[in-house]
Amino acid sequence: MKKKSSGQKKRDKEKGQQVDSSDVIQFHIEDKADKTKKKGKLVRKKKRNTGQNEAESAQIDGLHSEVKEGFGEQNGAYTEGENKDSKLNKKRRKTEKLKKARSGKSVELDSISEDDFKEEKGKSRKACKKDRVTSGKEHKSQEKKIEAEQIEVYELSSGDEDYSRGMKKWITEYHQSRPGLKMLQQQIDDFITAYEEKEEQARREREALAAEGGWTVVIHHKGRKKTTDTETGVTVGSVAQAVVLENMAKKKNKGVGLDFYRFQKREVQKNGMPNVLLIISFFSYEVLLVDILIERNMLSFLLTKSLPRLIFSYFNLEMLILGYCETSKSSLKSTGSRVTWDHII
Amino acid sequence: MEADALTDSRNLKVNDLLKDIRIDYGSLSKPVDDFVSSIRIAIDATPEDSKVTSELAPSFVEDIGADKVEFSFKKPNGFSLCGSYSTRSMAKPDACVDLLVHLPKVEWSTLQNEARKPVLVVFPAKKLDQFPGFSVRIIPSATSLFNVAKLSMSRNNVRSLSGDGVPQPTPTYNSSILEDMFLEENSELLKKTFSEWKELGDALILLKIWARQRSSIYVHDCLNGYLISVILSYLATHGKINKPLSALDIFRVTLNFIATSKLWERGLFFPPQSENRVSKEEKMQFRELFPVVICDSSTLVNLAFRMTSVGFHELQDEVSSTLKCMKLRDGGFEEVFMTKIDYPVKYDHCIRLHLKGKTAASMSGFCLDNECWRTCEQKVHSLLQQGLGDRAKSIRVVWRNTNEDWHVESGLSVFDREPLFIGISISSIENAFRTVDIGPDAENKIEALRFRKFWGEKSELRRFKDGRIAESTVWETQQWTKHLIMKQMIEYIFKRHLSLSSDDIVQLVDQLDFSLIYGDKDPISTSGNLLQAYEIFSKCLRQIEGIPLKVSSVQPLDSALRFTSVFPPEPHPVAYEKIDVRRLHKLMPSCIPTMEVMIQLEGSGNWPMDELAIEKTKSAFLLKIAENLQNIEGIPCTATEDNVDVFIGGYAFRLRILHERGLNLVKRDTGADPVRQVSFTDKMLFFRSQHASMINGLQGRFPTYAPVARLAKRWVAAHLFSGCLAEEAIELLVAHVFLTPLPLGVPCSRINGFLRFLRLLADYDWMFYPLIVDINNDFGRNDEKEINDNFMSSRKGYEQDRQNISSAMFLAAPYDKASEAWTTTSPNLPEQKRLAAYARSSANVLSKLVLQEHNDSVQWECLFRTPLNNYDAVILLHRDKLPYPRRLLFPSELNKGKHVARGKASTAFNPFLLPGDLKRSNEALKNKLMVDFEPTKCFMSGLQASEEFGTLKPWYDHIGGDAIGLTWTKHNSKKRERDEEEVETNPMEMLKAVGEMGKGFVRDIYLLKPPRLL
Repeated sequence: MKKKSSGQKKRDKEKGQQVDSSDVIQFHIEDKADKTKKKGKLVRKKKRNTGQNEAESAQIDGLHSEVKEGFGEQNGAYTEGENKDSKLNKKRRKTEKLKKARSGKSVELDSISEDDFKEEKGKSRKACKKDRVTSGKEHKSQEKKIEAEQIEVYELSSGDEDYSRGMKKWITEYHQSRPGLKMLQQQIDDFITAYEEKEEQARREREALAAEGGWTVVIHHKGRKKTTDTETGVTVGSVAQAVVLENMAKKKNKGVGLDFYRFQKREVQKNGMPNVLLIISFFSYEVLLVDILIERNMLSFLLTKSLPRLIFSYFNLEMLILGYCETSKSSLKSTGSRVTWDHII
Repeated sequence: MEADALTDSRNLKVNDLLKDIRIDYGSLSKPVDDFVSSIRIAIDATPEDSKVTSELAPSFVEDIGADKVEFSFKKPNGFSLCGSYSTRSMAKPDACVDLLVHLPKVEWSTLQNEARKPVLVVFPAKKLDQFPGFSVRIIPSATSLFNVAKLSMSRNNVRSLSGDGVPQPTPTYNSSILEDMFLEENSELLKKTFSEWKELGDALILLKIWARQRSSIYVHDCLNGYLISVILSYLATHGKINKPLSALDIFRVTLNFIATSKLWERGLFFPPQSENRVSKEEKMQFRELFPVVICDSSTLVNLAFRMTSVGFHELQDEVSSTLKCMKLRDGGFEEVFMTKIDYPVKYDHCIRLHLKGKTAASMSGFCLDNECWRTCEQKVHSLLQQGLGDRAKSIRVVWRNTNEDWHVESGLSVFDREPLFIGISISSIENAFRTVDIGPDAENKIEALRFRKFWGEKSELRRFKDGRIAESTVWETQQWTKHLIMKQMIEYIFKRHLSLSSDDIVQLVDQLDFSLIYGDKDPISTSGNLLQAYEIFSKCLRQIEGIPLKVSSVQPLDSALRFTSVFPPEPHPVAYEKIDVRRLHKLMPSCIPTMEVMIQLEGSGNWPMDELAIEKTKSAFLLKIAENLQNIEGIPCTATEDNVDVFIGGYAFRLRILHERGLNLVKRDTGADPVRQVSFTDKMLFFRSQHASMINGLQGRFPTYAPVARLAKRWVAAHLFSGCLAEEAIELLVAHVFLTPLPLGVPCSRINGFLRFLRLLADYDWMFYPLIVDINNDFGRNDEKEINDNFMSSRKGYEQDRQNISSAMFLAAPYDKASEAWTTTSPNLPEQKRLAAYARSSANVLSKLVLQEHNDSVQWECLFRTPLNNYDAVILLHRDKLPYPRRLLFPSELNKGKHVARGKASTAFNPFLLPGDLKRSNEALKNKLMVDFEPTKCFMSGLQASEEFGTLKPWYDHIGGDAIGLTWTKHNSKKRERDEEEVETNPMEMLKAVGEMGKGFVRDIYLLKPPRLL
């Protein structure tokens, strides 16, 4: 059943195509009419502009030839030895000839590499399987049809008089997108003000809602969590993150080796000893140790250089402690944030 | 457990391979028998005692210098099949049966037959479909034809070889004749060993497959199938391999034996058949005469008499790298048996020498003790070894003399038509790029004289920093052409010592460099400037005071800052703090590319939470920075809503801010809270910065990495794949070539590295394997498992629908184990297939160019010139509207298909600043300079954004091509398909609309193939 229906579809489509192609011819006739009109307009416009553009176009002409010289330089030595004084026209003709010769050569070569490619493609196509063969035939007939049709080539204008499409449009857009720093700053300030107002509005609405109903809407407070240390700019964890960490740690309490953080490994290689960073983990006795130290008012001791190794050797811990020491005991307990040891020293 | 599974899978693969390669002898035996009997009939038909004179092959007879050439034909005494057919160990696709023809006893003693042993290859008149290429080689053998005593190693049998009138021994010549005499006996012995031991035969097949994949050891002065079977049978007769071993085990034992056995130094001696034992003196003699000795049971012949010491070293090297591969986690099946190691991919520096007509003249004949071609090989090798010294790790000189269309009649002089091939492995880039070679001290008179004699006028006496005065050679060159130093040296050596002309020396070193040249030089030469400007810029950024949050770090993102950009920007005279009028010149580009630089700010809690707001805040910061730079430091800036570009030192840098908030989550992504997804922009920035720093480290470790990456990028773009394969993905692919080179060494030249990149792209099995790029060499088992899990989940949909996979190319890097960064959406499966097909054809062309003679530069261009008729439609652009017209490799033209539209060029844009512009004020001039303006990009994004062109897939070159290919595709979603059925758009109209969209830029549009009916 399915096969049949798909076959039918195909046939239907073919019909559609045929109809279309007859349409094409009509379109083209219309096109022609259109074009002649357009051309007329263009000519008029151009005439108006010529006066202004003359000087510029002469310059452009000169540049063109320079650009072409550029090509010559790149593509081989065929502009070499040519007299600079010789007329531009001459030069152009010559280069064009050479180019033709070149491209002729290249066509042959292409066919070589292409044959190669076709072989490969053939294989992959086989893998791609099935019904292409039949569609291929259809192709050929279509191709022939298209070649047989002798329609004249559609002319595109340079688009210079029209800002809606093409090169002119892209250039205009480019310049419009760069109105200057001041302007842009203004735009962004406007956006941010609007954004803040919107936020403020939302906040007020929430509060109003709370006041009206006598109920308090409890929202998880997202913002303003301390994510970085204000002085150093080093990233520190927030409470929630600490919890996540703790959970993770609980899951796999073991297996955290010295090289848990890869950069640490590199650090060790670089410095020969791992006392650059301290790790405090929240699930084993290191915490206790620090607690004890703090309680005994030994924090200052903690902040001396020799400590990491001291702890290390004294308790025979197998793990060093990745960064951390904030000055207050409470924040230590609650946040478990990290600071590089370098900063403390 | 896991290891078991892996070895199991390897055994499975090996067995499959054997099944594929083995030949069905049941069906082969009949044709072979028929064939042999028809040959017998043909020979029988020749009348006995018919005269054989030199006229049958005059040049051959003349070239071997025979003086008596009156023979009468005697019928052979018999025929016997030998070689791999007789031991049932033929390996497809070789299908050649060796037939020994026993020559009858005649008086031949004075004939200098040796040379070069013509062998008659007979093909059946009717091709056997089952065995393509089936043929029979008829090898004359001469059992007990000659007096063995006369052929002893110390006797002379070539009259013309004498020093001062005293005949000199001719061991090679003698061995060659002895080989013929004992051919039959030895092949009988092999038959006996191999019959009834299936595993041994299988191991032989495996070894043959292995050796055949390695062109550098499967040649005349190293291994061949016969020698492998001899070595195997030696191991079997000496109890080194036992019956219970599997074929693969025997394979491994044999390789181990070749690589490490001490026996090679003493020589391998088969147990003698008769009572005559090999005396100590004889053994000594063998070892002195030949680098490798495998003496057969007759005790008279060294079967390995052709093997040279260079060949044997090469063999041992290959064996040890194969053993390394076998220790890989997956058993290395691909590397050992399936990877082709031909000369172009093995050697960094390949050379072809044309010596046509130069050999025989320089020596006194074709065949003395050794053939002249072998002598020539040795000479070239020793010259190079002396000249290159520690620059070369190994040098291989091979001259193939077996033309396929050779006839005995044409003699030996045609053998030098093929060029002599030299392959050099470079020891290290540091050595290869050295500009001064210090020779012996001036006081050491003898050595100094020798040095002078070798180098001629190139050697000069120099005083060095440490006070030493020594002979030396200096190879002065610019930084960016240092890879040509060896080329220069080698050319000098050959010209001096072999009196060759430059045309006779073809060195494959710089043939691809044309694709990287901008103007008249490689733009990489200005990279020093670029890095300086970057340093200054990053210092400036860090010192900025007047912004709320200070800049805490600056990191480069652009590939130009890690030397892997095809065209690193050149300093532009207008992009300076102060424009120096003297620097302004005529041909100044009107466009300047930008290089992205990432900064991080000090931490703050005041950032908004909303993604859009974050981006806006970033822009606000960037604008503040720009204002600061401009007002306080006097550094000009220009900005759009999203980008801030800074002009400094002739370059344009574009700033990006990485917001740290997401970073912690990126680092331990597994535990991330799904609600707080990292914003896409920040994630990409993170990937890019990690990638940039790792690749930068890598290119420091491997100096050839950067040029190879540039070639690879150029190739991908030149074949209009810019939209499919991200530059970073290309960098990772090339990184893989350098990080996982087995079974080869690390590539040390551009052509070699580029070829390996192409082969990787062509041959890798992307569907079933992830490509793991372990840049820092620190992936553990867990990482690999994680990558594999990610890979499996990307292939989940495959079972139901072959098209339904994400990441058709799965690239895992240390910063991205899930392949999220570069290849999630593109290339898709068809694009990947197309890429592989192009890569394969380019790789084949490149290999051919290295090995064979087409050293026309046009041929090399082929690699970068994409055939335009592979597209359904082609858009050609106005070349003088491209922003960087000098980057264009070849102007594209097309004279096929239907010319749909022709467009005029816009006058609004010019790739160079007009002379009128130069007269403007500095401020206005700066505004004229367009930053990162890419018409092709604008055109493409317009094309892709529009629904109207949903069925068109564009292929383009973002570096600077003037052609865009278009193919028709199916619509992705089913819903669209339904729509399409209703409104079938006409292809011509659609192409016209495309042209309208690129007005002023589009030159011509051609339709080659109308869309397929779906």
